[in-house]
Amino acid sequence: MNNGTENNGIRRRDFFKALAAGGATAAVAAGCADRTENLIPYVMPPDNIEFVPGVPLEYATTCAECPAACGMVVKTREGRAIKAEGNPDHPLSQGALCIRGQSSLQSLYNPARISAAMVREGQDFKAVDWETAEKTAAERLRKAGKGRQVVLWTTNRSGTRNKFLDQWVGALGGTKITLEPLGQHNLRAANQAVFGRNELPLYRLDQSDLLVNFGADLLETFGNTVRNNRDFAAMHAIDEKRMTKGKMFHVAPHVSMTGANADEWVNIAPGSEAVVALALAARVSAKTGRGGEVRGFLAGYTLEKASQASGASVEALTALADEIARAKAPLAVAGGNLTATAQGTQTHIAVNVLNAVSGAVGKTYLLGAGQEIDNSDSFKAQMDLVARMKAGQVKALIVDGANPLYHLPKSAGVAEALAKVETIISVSSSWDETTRQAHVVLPSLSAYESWGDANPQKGVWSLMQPVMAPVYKVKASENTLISLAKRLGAGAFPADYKTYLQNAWKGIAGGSAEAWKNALQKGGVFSQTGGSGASLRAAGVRGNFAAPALTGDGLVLLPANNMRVRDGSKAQNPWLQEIPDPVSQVVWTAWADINPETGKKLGLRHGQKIRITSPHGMVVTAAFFHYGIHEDAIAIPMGYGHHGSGSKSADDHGVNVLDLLPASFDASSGEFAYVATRVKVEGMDEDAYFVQLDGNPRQEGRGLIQTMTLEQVKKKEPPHHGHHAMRERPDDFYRYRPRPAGYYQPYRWGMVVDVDRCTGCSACVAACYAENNIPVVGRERMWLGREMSWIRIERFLEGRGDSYKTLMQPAMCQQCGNAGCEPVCPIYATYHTPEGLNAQVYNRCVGTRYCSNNCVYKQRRYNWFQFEFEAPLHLQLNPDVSVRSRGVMEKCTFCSQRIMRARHAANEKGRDVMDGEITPACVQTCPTNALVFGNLADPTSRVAKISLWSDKEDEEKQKKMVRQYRMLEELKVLPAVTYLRKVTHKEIEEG
Amino acid sequence: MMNLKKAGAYSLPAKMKHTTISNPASKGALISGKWAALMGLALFLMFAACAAQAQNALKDEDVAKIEGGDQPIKFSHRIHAGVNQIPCQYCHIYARRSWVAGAPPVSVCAGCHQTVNPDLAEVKKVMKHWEEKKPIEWVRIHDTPDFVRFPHWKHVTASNEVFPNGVPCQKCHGPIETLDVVTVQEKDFGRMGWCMKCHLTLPGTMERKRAFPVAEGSPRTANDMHPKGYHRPLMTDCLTCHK
Repeated sequence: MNNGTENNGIRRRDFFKALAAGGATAAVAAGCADRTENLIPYVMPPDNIEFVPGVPLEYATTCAECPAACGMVVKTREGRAIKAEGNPDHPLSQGALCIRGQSSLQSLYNPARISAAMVREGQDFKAVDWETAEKTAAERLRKAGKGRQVVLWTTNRSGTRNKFLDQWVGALGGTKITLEPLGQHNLRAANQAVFGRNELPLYRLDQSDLLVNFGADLLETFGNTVRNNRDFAAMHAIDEKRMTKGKMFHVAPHVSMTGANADEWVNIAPGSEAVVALALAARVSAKTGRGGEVRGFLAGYTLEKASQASGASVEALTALADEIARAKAPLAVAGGNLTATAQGTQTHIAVNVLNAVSGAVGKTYLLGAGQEIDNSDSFKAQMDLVARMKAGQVKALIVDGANPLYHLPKSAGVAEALAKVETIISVSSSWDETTRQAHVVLPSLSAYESWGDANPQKGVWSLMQPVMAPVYKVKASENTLISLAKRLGAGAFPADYKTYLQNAWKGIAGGSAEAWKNALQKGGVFSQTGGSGASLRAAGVRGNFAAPALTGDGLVLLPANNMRVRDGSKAQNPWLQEIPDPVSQVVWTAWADINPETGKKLGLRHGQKIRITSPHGMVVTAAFFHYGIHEDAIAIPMGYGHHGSGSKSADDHGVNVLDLLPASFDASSGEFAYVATRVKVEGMDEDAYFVQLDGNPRQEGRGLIQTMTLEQVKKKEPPHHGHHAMRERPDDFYRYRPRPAGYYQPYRWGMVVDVDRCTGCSACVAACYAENNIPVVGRERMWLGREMSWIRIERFLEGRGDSYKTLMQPAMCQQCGNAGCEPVCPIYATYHTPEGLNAQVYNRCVGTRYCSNNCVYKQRRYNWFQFEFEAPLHLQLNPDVSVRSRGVMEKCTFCSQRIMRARHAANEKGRDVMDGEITPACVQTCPTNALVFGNLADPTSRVAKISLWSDKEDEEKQKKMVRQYRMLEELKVLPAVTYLRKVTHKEIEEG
Repeated sequence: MMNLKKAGAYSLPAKMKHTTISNPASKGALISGKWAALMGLALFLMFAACAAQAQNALKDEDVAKIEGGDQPIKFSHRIHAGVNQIPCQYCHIYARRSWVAGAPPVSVCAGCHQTVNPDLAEVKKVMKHWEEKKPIEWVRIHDTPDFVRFPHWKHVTASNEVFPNGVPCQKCHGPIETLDVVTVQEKDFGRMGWCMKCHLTLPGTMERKRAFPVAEGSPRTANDMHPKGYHRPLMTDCLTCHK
């Protein structure tokens, strides 16, 4: 799908055969008449009285992209899933989804999914019928015999499935190992040591007013990111009633998206987190009087020593400690890869101490809330298994979604270990490196097609149900396992996993059929549990808190967490490769963040190809100059560099940072040590081929993303932004064009974007891809500047050095009232609708591209090729939106298809569309509610009250607004999108 | 009209009535699924009885005289909708409820033909599809381009001066009930100019009656309202039909 082809649209016949829908016209290609099409009705209409072709049906289910298990509502059309949205009834996701949740549709329609049972033949696989494959697998398992030589390697999930797998593997006398590259064993071990509680805490970010983040990627992959984003916005965005705003400090050697949202970055040396946390705790304890039991211990940790160890100034650390002591509800968080060192548990113990002395425990740091999002076995357990495999003690290995060949470092020797196993049976749903090594492949259905549940938090039981008929004729992995057990005569299992699940749910939802039905409708059974505090055990606070020993020499290697492809398991989803990283704006590949100062010292330049060598391996990637990294460190995002996984969008993009790492771990928790080695960096005589979409990272005084301080908001004194030269332009640069009578009555659609709430999580971008059939164009075309995304996260940098600032905001078509695009179209393919949209009529467009040239916001996208949607990804296409063909301009229309549907629905009810009835895809999924959409012409609507737009450019109304601004206002294109300035504690210097 | 000549013994009723079901949904709410099912059952009983009278008269040699066109099965709208007066929406059940009219599922064919003329060779073909659970691949005749949203239900349930009881199917599809082989009867069917022939000339197709008053504080103004209480439903706005 990455390459444009001359192919005339997608294979239409294929499409309709797969659907066999009742005469549904689906939007697939903007062709004209003169062709014969078949009309293939159902044999039997679906057994569902509500089914009407053309009308979407929605099912509540659970997202399976990560263990956070957000509730999800899947929209289906004519029996196929076309869009995933958050389940508003679900207590964790509350109607929103993250970028990976939005992209989960591409796990369902993954072109690398395995379509049939396979048996290995030499280096290749042969598709066989299911019965034969299952018989072969059972035969091989019988040969392996019962006992510890049978191992089930699975992935981290919560809920009934874990019990089922335990029972299954127990019946075979074997063992189950759960692989989770982003485990939280350090945190668990630290809670055991400090509070005597072997569990994960519940962070109440929303209750805190000061967040001190020791490198955790809270808003990207750590815990439930939807919830974290929402709670972070609740804490950090300005409360305009009380005129307060929470503050965040990022205390880490690397700034990722989470760090970019912080008010202050305390740049510390890698590995010095523990010392810094303890020194802060010492001062906080002295100020607050809490933590008497550890005061003696803390006396050894002064801010001066911490400053020496970390490189941060004493003043900065003192100021931070005083802020913590002053705060009403501070919270310190540690986690993610940056604190996963050989001393990881110690770092978490130190941060726990800080939380205890600052009073966070019991207030914002809760225990006993039953966080179940990490049920994995430690890295040490994986290594023990690898050792057993190497020793020939494992006769049969069942791979259930786990991909150890990729997720464990090369130095762990998984490849040699797998070669020693006589029988490898994979029940994964798509091809990956490990499944490629299997002898028998019994592919599983995806989460959208199977039964299941999740229990990510005590009291939160989320159901997963099939929302559509399977794309391929394969079996759910649980049913395959039941069938295998029956063939081996092992254990007592019901006929299928659905029955198993329903039996388990009798104890969760109640035994009645009604209760089960209600749970299915609602998406699960939800009750909220509060947590409580715990007292600090001084005896647990001991050990070595110094920086961990690292192998090799050179710069410290930081394998950064990756918001998009997570641990690499999502690299098969093309959307997640195509949507740029919000901070670096890089697509489709890995890169190496290097501090410009370090770069200069090493004689490197931005974009240069570099060779990175550790004692354990070597990779070649691109040097990326980034102020947000410690001068003694280099960061490479994890999740890239797949080889031979069988997925076009995953394979051969970037490098795998794990190739550089030793297989070392923290002795007290068994957790993998991500920060474990130093690397040598050499420049190569060549520019790297990597694509960065930001163009100019500097605003150059254009005032695209504007900020103001909390003081200015309080005083209602908006700052002056914008380019002077621009402001001096004559008023009639774009002359106002008179609107025909009847325009903007009763609707004028518009949006407000609160930049203060936007974290850059990019879920809106993925939602837009899914809703609007936006093609994926691939790295080559993006390099030519031909990306197709209708909404983007704009990122600009202000300042240089350690005090630099990152600003992010979503930008989509501004639906200008005096647009540049409209008057230049020679054939009226783009025009102003009476409802205020800059419409684009795709089949009228001839592709002059005048409109795009005249768009001041660069929001129009041109189809340079006939982009193909590789099967079965084409099944995801939204029938309500045309698939644009070659030579056609396309753009955001505020999801006009949703506006049309809402208008029809209101008409049927005999009234106008009411506020809140239309939510464009981007607005729907925003976890922080940074986007508000509605009718600007209705003065009572939510959006009209906070928008600068008014029919008569009401200057009185505009004068009263403090945070509002419009991008490039001086051009007088009258955008319908109003932005609300980001509010900062300190003034941000432009430049 | 060529097909009419071959109608043979089966002459048409002198005056055709519109075969749309008069629809309570035209008042506002769409007909619900349950209602449709009940109605379907009642209709089925009616037509099973009706058709039973006709079945003795239809033989394979009569069917042989009928043209079949390119369709995989010789299905005659003339016999079904004309001679036997089965309403259009008995089979095209989604027309009043959705964007698409919906070709009837094989189960609908089988529902009648299990008892009606089961011995005809063409009917046996249908029943074979039913028994093998294989869909029939009809050749599509009336097609709107994929970039167009065409709301069937808005037309079928219309209520205005010109079409108080909905736009009859024949208005766009032609005298289907007289045709053995359905062909596009209207020149330029499905082209924009053809749609606009009505939507730019006929009252009620340009504006729609506003059954509800303008709410207090609503941004709608007198400017927006037709003197007779119509309002402009953006009939000439591109986005109304182009997706």
